[in-house]
Formats: sequence, C-alpha cells, structure tokens
Amino acid sequence: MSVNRVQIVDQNFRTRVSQAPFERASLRPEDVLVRDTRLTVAAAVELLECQITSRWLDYVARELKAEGKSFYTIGSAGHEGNAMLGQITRPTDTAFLHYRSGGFYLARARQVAGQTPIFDTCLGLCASSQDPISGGRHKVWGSLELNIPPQTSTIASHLPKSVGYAFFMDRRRRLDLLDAGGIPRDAIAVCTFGDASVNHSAAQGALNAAAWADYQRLPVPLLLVCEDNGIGISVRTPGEWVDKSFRHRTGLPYFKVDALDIFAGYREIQQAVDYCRRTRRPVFLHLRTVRLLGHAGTDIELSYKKREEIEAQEALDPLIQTALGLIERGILSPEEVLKLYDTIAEQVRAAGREAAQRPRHDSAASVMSSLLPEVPRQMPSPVRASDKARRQHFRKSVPEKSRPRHMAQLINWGLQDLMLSDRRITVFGEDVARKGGVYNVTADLYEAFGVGRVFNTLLDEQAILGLAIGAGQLGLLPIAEIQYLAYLYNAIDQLRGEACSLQFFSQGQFRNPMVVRIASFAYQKGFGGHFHNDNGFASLREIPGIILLTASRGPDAVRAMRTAVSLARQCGAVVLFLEPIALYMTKDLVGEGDWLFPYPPPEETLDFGHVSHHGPGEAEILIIGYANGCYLSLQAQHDLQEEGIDCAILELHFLTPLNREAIVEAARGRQSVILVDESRRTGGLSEEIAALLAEELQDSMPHLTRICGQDTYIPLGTAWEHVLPSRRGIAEAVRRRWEVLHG
Amino acid sequence: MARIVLVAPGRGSYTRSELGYLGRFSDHPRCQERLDLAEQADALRRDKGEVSVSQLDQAGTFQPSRHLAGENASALIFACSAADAALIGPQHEVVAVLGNSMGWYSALYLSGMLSFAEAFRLVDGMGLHQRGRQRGGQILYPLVEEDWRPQPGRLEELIDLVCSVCDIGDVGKPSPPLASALDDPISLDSTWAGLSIHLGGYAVLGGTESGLKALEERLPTVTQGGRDFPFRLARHSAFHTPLMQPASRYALEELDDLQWNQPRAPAIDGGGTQWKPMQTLQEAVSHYTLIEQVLRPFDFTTAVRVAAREYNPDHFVLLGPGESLGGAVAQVLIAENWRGLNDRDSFQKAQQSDSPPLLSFSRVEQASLVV
Repeated sequence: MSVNRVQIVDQNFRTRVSQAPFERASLRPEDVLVRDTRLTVAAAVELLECQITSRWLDYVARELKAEGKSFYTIGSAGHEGNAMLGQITRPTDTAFLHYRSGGFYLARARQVAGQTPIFDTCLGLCASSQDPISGGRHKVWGSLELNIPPQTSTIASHLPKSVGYAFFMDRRRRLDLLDAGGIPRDAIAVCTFGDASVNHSAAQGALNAAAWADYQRLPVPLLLVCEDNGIGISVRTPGEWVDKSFRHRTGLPYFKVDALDIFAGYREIQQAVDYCRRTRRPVFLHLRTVRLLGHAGTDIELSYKKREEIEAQEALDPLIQTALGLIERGILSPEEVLKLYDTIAEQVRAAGREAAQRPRHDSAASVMSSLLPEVPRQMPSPVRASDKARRQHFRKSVPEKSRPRHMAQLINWGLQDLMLSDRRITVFGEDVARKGGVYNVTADLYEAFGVGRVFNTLLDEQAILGLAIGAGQLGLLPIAEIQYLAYLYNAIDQLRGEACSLQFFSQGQFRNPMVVRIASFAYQKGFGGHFHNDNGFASLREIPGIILLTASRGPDAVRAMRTAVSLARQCGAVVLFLEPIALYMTKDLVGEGDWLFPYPPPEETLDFGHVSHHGPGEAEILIIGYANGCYLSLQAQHDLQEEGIDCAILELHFLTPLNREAIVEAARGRQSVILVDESRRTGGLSEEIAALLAEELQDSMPHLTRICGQDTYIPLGTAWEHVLPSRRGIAEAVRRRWEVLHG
Repeated sequence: MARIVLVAPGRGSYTRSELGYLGRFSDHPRCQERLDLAEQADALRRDKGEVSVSQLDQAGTFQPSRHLAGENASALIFACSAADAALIGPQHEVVAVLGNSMGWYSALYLSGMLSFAEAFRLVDGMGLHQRGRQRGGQILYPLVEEDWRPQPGRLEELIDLVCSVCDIGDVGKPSPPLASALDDPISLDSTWAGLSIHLGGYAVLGGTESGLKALEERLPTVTQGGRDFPFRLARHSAFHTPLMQPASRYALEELDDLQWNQPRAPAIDGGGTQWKPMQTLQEAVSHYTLIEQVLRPFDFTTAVRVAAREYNPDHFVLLGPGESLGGAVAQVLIAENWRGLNDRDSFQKAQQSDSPPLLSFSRVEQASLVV
C-alpha cells in the first residue's frame, strides 16, 4: 500500500488534539457532564482511555502482522463509540459481539476486577494457545467473567441465538428457574452487528423472530445494535437504508444514535438500554460509526473509494471527538491527552511483544481438545422422576406396564418421563404444542407441562435452533423439534457455525447443550415428496463435535433420547436425534404387531457408541445398517432364513461419531459385508464405513457391497422405490454373495 | 528509561536484618529526600507521643515485641517504602503501583492518591489501632511445588478445607457479604477461618485461635525451603477477614475524612481493580480502602498478575524493607509464564541477566538500575 492510513489517522489525532485551545475547569471526577446521564468526568475519561486502547490494539495488530507475529487485522477503528455500550450495560448483560467491538470489550472489562483485556486481546491476535477465551483458535471478543460468549460470525449468524437467549432470559420466570445461568432476572442481552450484515437472511430472520415475539407481547429483552459505518468491505450501504428499513418496524422499537461523539450519543444509548431493560422489549439501536483503516489490514480502500471520501471519514474519527470534547470542557489538556495516548501505545506494544512469545498449538490433538469434552463410554442412568410423580403423571399406569406400542408413542412417553425428571427441559418447534406435532410425538406435553415448557415457534427453523442455543447457553436443556430433515438445511449454519463451535472457540467455558429431534429419512410410500422424505445428512456428519443418533425400534429410540439428554447435560453436547418418520407408526415387521415394543424402564439408556447385533453372530455375511435400512434388512434376513441363508446385522445408533472399533470388529473374519445406507451414495455413511474397513482390515478385507440411496432427490409417488434401498434389493444382494460363497 | 511497576511490601517485611534501613543509600544524590520523608514520619509519630520510626530503625537491637508489633511496624515499613521510592530516577516511568496487604496504603501514597501525611495517618492509624487488639491470627501455607511451579486447584482445595473447619456457615467463603461482615461480627470464641491473602505461591489463612488450631491439625505438614508449613505468623491479626470488623469500624470513624487526590499512576488494588488518573471516585476508593480490603481477602496474586499482563513492565521494583515478597512476585510471574519463566531456576537465571524481571531495593546492585 503506497499510503499508510495508520500513520495518517495517528497523525490526525496528534495534530487535532495538540491544536485544541484549552482552559482548565475545576471539575471533579464525580461531576456529571451530560444531564440526566451517568456520564461523569471519570466515565468520560474512562471512555477515552478505552477508545485509545482499542485503537492501539488495531495499530499493534498490524505492527505484529508485519513482523509475522500476529494473524488478525480486522479492527475496531471508527467504531470505538461502542465503548459507551460497554460502559452503560452491565457485566451480567450477556453480550454477543461482532468483530469491531474493542471499545465495548475494554469498557466492560473495566467493570469487573482483575481483568486483563489488553494482554488477552494480544494473545488472541497472536493465536496463542494461552488466549484465555478461544485458546488461540480464533481472534474473538470473549470472556466468561464478562459474559461475552465468543462470536466468530461474519454473517450475522449470531443474531438468531441472541434472540433465543434473550427470549429464554424471561421465559425462565415461567420455568421457575429465575436465576438459571447465573444471570440476574433484570439482565438484558446485547448483540452487535454491522450495517452490511443486517441484510443477511440470518439477521433478517432473527430480527423478524424478535419482532414476532414482541408483537405477541412475549418478552425479548435484547438490544440489537447495528453499528452502521456505511460500507461492507467494498459495497456501500445505500444511504438511509438501515434507518428506513427499521425505523417503523412493528415489534422493534428503534433508537438512532451518533456514536462518533460520546457527548452527543451517551444519553440516547443510555435511554435505549434502560428502555430495553425496563420494558423487556427488543430494541433496534442504530449507531452511526465510521470505518477507518479499511475492512482489514489487507484491504486497500483506495481501490474502491476516492481519497476525499476516505479523508472525510477519517476527519470524523471518534477518538478525536472524545479527546476534543474533554479538552473543550477543561478536563484534560492536549498534553495530558497525548501523554495518555503515548502511554497506552507503549502499554499495548509491550503486551504485544510479550504475547508474541507465547506458545501456539503444536498438534491436532491440542487444537481439537476443546471440541467436545471426554464422553463417558457408559452413560450413567438418567435422572428419573420419583415413582410417585410418575404414577401421578401417567395416571397410575406407568408406560412400562402398558402393552407394546409403536415408536411415536414410545418416544412420546420418553419425552414425558424426561420432562418429569428435569424441569430445565423445554420442548419447542413448529406445531409441537396443542397439535402435539405432525406425528403426535409431542402429544399431551403441552397439557401436562404448560406453555412455559412446551410451545410452538414461528415457522423458521433458524429461529428454532437459535432458541435452542440460547436456552442451552442459559443453563436450560432444550429439546427442539425440526419438523422434517429437509427443513433443517435453511438453518444449518446455526448448528455448524454456531452451536457446535461454541465449546471449540471457548475451550468449553461456554456451552449450548441441546437435543434436536428431527423427523428424518424417506419411505413414506410416495407421500410428501422430497421435502418430507429427505435422506441426506452428509452435511451434518461433517460438523466437528456434533453427535447424531438414530434408531429403528421404538425402545432404542427412547433409550437414544435419554442418552442424548445425558450427553447434553453432562458434556454440553449438541445432539441430533434423527427419527425415522416411516417407522413412527409402523407396527409390523414380518408379522402382525411384531414391530410394536414395550416401553423401556426409565433407567435404560444406550451407551456412547452403542451398536445392536441381530441374527447369527457367526454368519459369513454381515449387513451394516441403521434406521429404515436396518428395518428392511431385518425383513430381508427373515426372507433369507426361509431359504436357509444366514446373515448377521449390525445396527448403528450413532451415525456420528461412528463406533469405529465396533464396526471393524463386527466385520473382521466375515466373507462379505453389505452396507445398507439409506442416505445417498455420494457423501453417505457407506463411504466412511467402506474406507474404514479397507484401512483397518487391508488384506483381510471382506468383499464389500453398497446398497445406497441414489444421488437424487426423492420423487413424489411410487417412483421412490427406484431410488432407495429395498427389502428385495437387500435380500438379492445377500443371495448373490451367498451363491458366490457356496456355489 | 525503564517502564516499572512499584511493589510495596506489607507487615512482616521489617526483620532483624533491616535495622538501619532508612540510613541506606546515604551516598545517593537524592538521599536528602529520603531523609526528609523519614523526618516527616518521625514528626507525625512524635505528635502522637509514639516512638519515632527513626528510633525504631536505628535501635541497637531488633526486638520482635517492638519492631513487629502493628503499632510500630506499619509506620516503619511505610516510611521505608516511601523513602525508597523517593530515589527512583525521574527518567523511569512508573506505569503502575501495587502493594501487599498494608502495602496497599503505601501504594496509595506512591500513586499520589494520598499525600505522605495522609497516607501516614492511614497507615499509622490502622497500625496503632491494633495495639493490644490482636484479633485472631494468620498462618502461611504453600500452594506451589518446592521449585515454585504452580499446583493447579490447590487453592480451591485449601479453601474447601478451610470452610470445613468453620462452625459458622457462609462466612467461611472467600467473599462474605460486606454488610454481614460489618454488622454481624464473628466472635473470637467461634471456630472460624478463611482466606486472608492470596500471596503468590502461598495462601495466608486467617482465623480465630480455635479456627487456626483446627486448620493446623488438619493441614498436612509440608516442608519447603527448610521451613515447615503451616507456619504461624507472629503478632499478626486475621487481616483481610471479617474478624477485622472493629478495625473497619475504627477506620470509618477516624479516617473517613482522608484527603484523596487523583492518582498520577494507576494503582492496582488487592482485587485487581486499577484506580486510574481522573477516573477515581473518592467515595469508591475510600470504601475499598476502609471497608472492603479490611474485611475481604487481599488478592496480591491478582494484583501482580494484572500488572504483568496489562503493563508488561521492564521490571517489577520491590521497595523495602526486606525482600521476602519477591518470592511471591516471582511465583505469580512463573504461574503466568511471564517472559518464559516457568520455575524457580528459570527465574533465578533471569535475575542474573542484564534485565532482571524483579529489582529489589534490598539489593543495591538491583536498585542501582532504577535509582
């Protein structure tokens, strides 16, 4: 870059400050500078210090990068007015901050004793494993003590969970868990984002969800802070776009504030915060900021902006405005401001030098250590409600004494038992309340546990997952429902980019335990088309840290659900339970009622990685399958038995992570392995299992056959039969292998 | 020019070997400033009819009953620390100040928040109030290995044990509510103990006599540096615990009119809060000094940690008298892995370098780097 804007911005500050006229006023630190606010002399000087420190963190990040010692240069320059928010909100107001939040972070750190935000930030810039929040996995603004969960989002994907978090802050009242998460009842949540990312569908969806709730008078005490610098990387935000879009939005009170000048903006920000806290309503706080020094260190603004435009923005530098305001009021002399500026420069540079010497991760194991804590192989028995409570709830006859039932009914009872045993559990999703879900799986829950714990959401999967993240982070135990697997995919980033990454980027300090039930897979006999018969879940399996469970039999489904809840509770895990829709109401396997099962006693769970074996253990041919594939394989096994052909079946319940040892051991010594994978041929489970067996068994690898779903969407009508594994197809494959083996 | 953090010692730092401390550095060009401060202190003591700090310092023999007693030791230690600070070269930048226990009072002076006279009034007032009023006691117990490497979780285990010996419920916790500590004092007849100071590689535990006895019975004996722990600190009250309620009451009655100034340099207190220029509210710092730090544990570890991480000075400068606090500073720096320090050996090696992390006024060759 031919022109170093850092030098120019730095020099502008020095020049404008040094030229300012000054006359000392006799003010004490306690004196209030702006009427009806908490902006005292001390608070204003603190803001200046936070703003200068934030700026020097930006400068030093670039200096360290030039020396090859740091790895992050997106800065807060021009946004330092957000220090006002950091000062005005409380440390118990959980804050989801975007990446230009240096001022906020530093100001909040001033409210809690013993904090070291300068050094902590430098450790983050240098990607040191000693970075106290992310352990060097990303440069984030985050701190457990400051109630700032780390965000890595660049696309506003943190907005849905902030809405969910705020929603559950007041929902705790109805759950009789008022102080869950250690957050006081009058706390609010804060979420910051830019004017460019407000256009993202994730942001729009979250803002809509907040407004939708508010429209129904449901409390969502969330301060949605749009820090508007007028540009997203190189794309300008059309003039007044944010203002015009949100000023009159139903369900979203709007405040607009000039954050470039603390003396002008402090009162309005304080009013917005107080309003949010008092009314428990979501508030859209529109802050005017500028972006200085480009998008990041590598961004050459002159390639898309005129020099005059850049200089005009630089003239609005909030640091200059704060400094001149203090000089003008006779509080600090120009010399005192410049001395402070240089002192902080030295302080931040010294922190940078030290941080650059600190260790970084040196192995994959070290990087991955915070993905998910060690999971106990053997799951402890779930917490269960007392016999008396169960008898009362189930009206004397507990479900394990009932006659055998189909999967949907068993899961329903399982949910009731879980909700009885742990009042932190909430169930929500589309149509789950009065209707009891489209397959009646959540029937009676609403009546039994009330709207506080069982409620319908708006038609927005992203909002559902945002609610789940928020609930989990607040110490509740959400069991969210996604109505169909295909519906998940417009919202999958809430799992991939947010829920599953939280422990990773916070070293397990923050968790969002959750269980997500998803009606999944195909085989609905031609009804519903592809949206209701989705069989693809490869994009879920690749998410680091996620746990995917499924089952083919009702009792295993209940046990799996209990395991899912235990994993969430104990390890903070994000567990998805893929429930096979087609088996919900299935009663027959090969004879009448032979797929109905009794309810498993409340203490039974599936151990982590559990697999089930069906059929003769010593058979030469092994089928590996899950869910519908297992069901069909059992039918095929029955058919083949009549022909005198033996085969064993290994049923998987954990689709991610796979129990690799169990799979390899089951296959070892077999003549033939047939993988029945009802997901797709490409990217499906069978690919990993085939590769696993080849890697582990090498020369003793059995013959391998894959029976998979085709690489297609599922069609409406009878044509589905052509694209999915079938009872006949599986039997035929086994028969073929039998013939090869036995002539 | 060096960026330095000043560290002021607390009670127990003036020992037999420190006799004549105020007379040190007699050939320094600014020695007169040092002597002037001592003279000021002497005058203030004489006005109260107390033995002067110079008399104590120049005594022919060290008498524990005289030199370690709160009514004398506090003033003496403060005067020595202030006198040392007077010698620091103006070319050096004091980026922050802090102290241990009563060293906080010294830090208030060093930062400029209290004048010498006002700080002396505070120090000496609190010291004299202790005359004949020892309340409970303190014991020292190590949290680190012999080589000063930290033992993670040790403090928490210790606090659990401490809480278990108390016959009074919640007040055994590290941070009892201030209101209850002020209004509902703990009886010296009860069995009570609590954390008093987190002192680098050591925990200082305070308690009633029976509380400390119970702890001494239950704490495994550890021998480090030729000394057996738990180790009872002679003539110490259970400072920084709710047992000090009368001291806080006294402070509120007699010292509420202290004349506070804005600090010139940030002062880091025993909770890790930084009191900064033009940002310090008199009411807040007074409340902290006269109530909070008197009744709640003093976290010297966090104070040093904050200084190391946020200021990354060229040197920590330990003012006199004595240098036993240097070990605690070093232990914090080791726990922080500061400048690559990871045990006692690496610290001692660094101390031999051209730029020792810790300069002690008790060692002339180290002090010479900043005076």
